[in-house]
Amino acid sequence: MKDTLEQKIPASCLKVAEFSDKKQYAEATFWERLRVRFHILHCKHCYTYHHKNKELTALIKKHEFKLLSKLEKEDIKAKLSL
Amino acid sequence: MSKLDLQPELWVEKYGDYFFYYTVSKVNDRETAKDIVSETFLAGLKSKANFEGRSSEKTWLSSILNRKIVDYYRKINSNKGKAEVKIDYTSQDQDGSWLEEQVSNSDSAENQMENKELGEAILSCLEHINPKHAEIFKMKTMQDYDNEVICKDMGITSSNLWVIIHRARTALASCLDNSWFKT
Repeated sequence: MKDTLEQKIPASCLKVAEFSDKKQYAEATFWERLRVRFHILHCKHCYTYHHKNKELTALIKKHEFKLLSKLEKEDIKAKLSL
Repeated sequence: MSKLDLQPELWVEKYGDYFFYYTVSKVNDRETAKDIVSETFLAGLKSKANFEGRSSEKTWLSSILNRKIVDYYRKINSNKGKAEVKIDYTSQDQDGSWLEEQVSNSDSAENQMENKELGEAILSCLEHINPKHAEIFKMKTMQDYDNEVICKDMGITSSNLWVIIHRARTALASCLDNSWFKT
């Protein structure tokens, strides 16, 4: 289902979505950032996606997540003998 | 849900982070929280036969976790923490209220959307997506692992990483849309 939906999305939008994702982690290059900026000027869907993406990043950054590390999870699994 | 639906082998991956996060917020200590979470899973394993299937696996484990947190506070309350923790209460008979207060959000472990706790809502939403995608998303977004480390650990390519991140972000945003953003 998801694949079908993704297949219906234009390749240019999928690329921009990837750049938008990279931008959330400050890993987008200058040209990738520029491409997002221009593309969202005329693409409503990507505009919405990019803004939701930014909102999500802000929401996550507001929070300090204390999670178990991989090692700690393995440790617990070992205690449970799983 | 039948007894057969309990999947202890998935507990750590599925609920580990959520329970740990919830417990750290209650006890304020990473090591203690880790111990309480592993004791919870251990107790769950031991009392597997008592699971009647009237609630979900998560709700059942949450109630065990809450009891473990209460036990922890009882223990420190009977030792050196006694003087500090009772500071807000004037008489002995209010012990019960204090204990209740420590686990006041016990419902949130069962019904995270109702108490609007952001962190819990996010982690809970991540439980509903592909476990591998959720793990990769957490490593990248919440634990700041390098792409190279994630790819090596999870056996994926760099371009796969971004596809997975995209799917996880889309699923998470849509899940939060129905809970957090609407509130």
